[in-house]
Amino acid sequence: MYDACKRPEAWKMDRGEKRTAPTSSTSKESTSTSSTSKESTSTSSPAVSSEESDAKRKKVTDSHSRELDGKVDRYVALRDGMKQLREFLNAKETESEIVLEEIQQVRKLAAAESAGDGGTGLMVTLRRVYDQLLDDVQQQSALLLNQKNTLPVKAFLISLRCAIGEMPGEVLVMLFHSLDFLQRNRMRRVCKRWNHLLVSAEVNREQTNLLPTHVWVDTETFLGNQTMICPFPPRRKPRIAAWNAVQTLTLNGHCKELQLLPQSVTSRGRRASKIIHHGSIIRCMAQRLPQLSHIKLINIVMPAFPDFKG
Amino acid sequence: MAATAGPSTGSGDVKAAAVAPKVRLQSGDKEIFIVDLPVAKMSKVIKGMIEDLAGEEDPNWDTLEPIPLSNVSGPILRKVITWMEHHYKNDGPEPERPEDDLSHFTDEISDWDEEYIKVDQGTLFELILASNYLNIKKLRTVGCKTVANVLRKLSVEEIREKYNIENDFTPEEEEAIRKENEWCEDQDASK
Repeated sequence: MYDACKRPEAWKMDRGEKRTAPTSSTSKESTSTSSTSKESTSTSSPAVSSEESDAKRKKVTDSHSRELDGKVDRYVALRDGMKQLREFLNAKETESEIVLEEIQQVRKLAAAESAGDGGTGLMVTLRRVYDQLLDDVQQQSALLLNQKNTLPVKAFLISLRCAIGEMPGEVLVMLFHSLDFLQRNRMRRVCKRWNHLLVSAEVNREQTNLLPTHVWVDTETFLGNQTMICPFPPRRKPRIAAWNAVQTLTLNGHCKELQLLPQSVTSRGRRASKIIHHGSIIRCMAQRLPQLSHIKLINIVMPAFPDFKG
Repeated sequence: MAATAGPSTGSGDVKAAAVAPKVRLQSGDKEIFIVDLPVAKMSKVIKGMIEDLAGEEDPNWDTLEPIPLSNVSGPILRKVITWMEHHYKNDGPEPERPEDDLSHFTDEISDWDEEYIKVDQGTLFELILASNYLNIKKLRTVGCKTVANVLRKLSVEEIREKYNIENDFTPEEEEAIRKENEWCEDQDASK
């Protein structure tokens, strides 16, 4: 960065002594030396011409010096003006940073009070700040005036972005519904909130037609040590299952016993029952979820079917 | 400032154009949009508000106060109205579905919707939030599917970086989840 306090004359003097030595006082010395040598060989006429040339040189030097002085004065005045402007701009920058910080705090407060909304309702108002900050970033000169302002500007721009992490849980849940099982598992590692949403019953509510069309799976009891697969007849509206039993069983590893129950529902006041062969259910599950092939489904304990005859 | 959101009815829907009353919607930044009543009713929230405002008698729609939609900005509301008008013209009103019917999640995104949703990330999220607030399920689904399509192509780290999400897991917690998912990560061919 250029040091505005260093006066250009001094700078010129420093450099001039080293690089253009014969221009001023030294030149006089050399002139006098040459004139002395000339004096030793010639008479007064060369001395007169020497004076004339000295006067001429002095006149030229004075003229350049005056011109230079004028330019130097102008340069110094400009730099002084810029210094004052810079101080003024620095003060304004500092003030704007404080206001920006206050805006951030109000926004955080609003986000906290709106329970996870992320202050997105304020986006309309904040958009003005966003636009201004974008303008600041685009103006390179604005950044050059105060480099340190770039950091809060960038951070604020990022924070103003309507982030996916700040979207309401219900919207994120819908978003996760568009992903398949494996992708949803991957999303669990993004952050605690996503993990919570993905493992909670709310996000995992989905219709699971794991088994043939007339069979529906209810894994409501999966949180215990027992997972129940209850097939339902086609006419009954299927219950919204939590996760399908096998996914839950495998993912959580909590389930120690898989119980398959035969179809047993009440229809028009009469209880109907139909035994579904559990072996075919397991085969069907294995076909539809090949990723579970490593589970030895055959070893799952299956109690005897209850007697529905009574 | 008053504005209309483009052509309100289709050329083929002459009857509707002739009789359809218009409602005024006011965005959060006080912009007014004049929209055909049936189109506006594609939003369950607006439909409810209209019913509340109108009561049982047929009101004078011109004198009714604009319906305030404070959570939706003008540009986003304009885009939402464009979507509603297009889909009202082409698909008709959205069919009533039970709350727990998630079958529409299997719907494909139409070409028009795909083109419509090609917006920057911020606008996309605002559209999703607006459709959620206005309760327009189909638009919300289109938005969610679009984001999901992006998400499924990214790794966990890339998602955090792209969406500015802080990793608030302890290393132990993250490792525990990784172990839980270990069995299926090899098969997650998408990433």
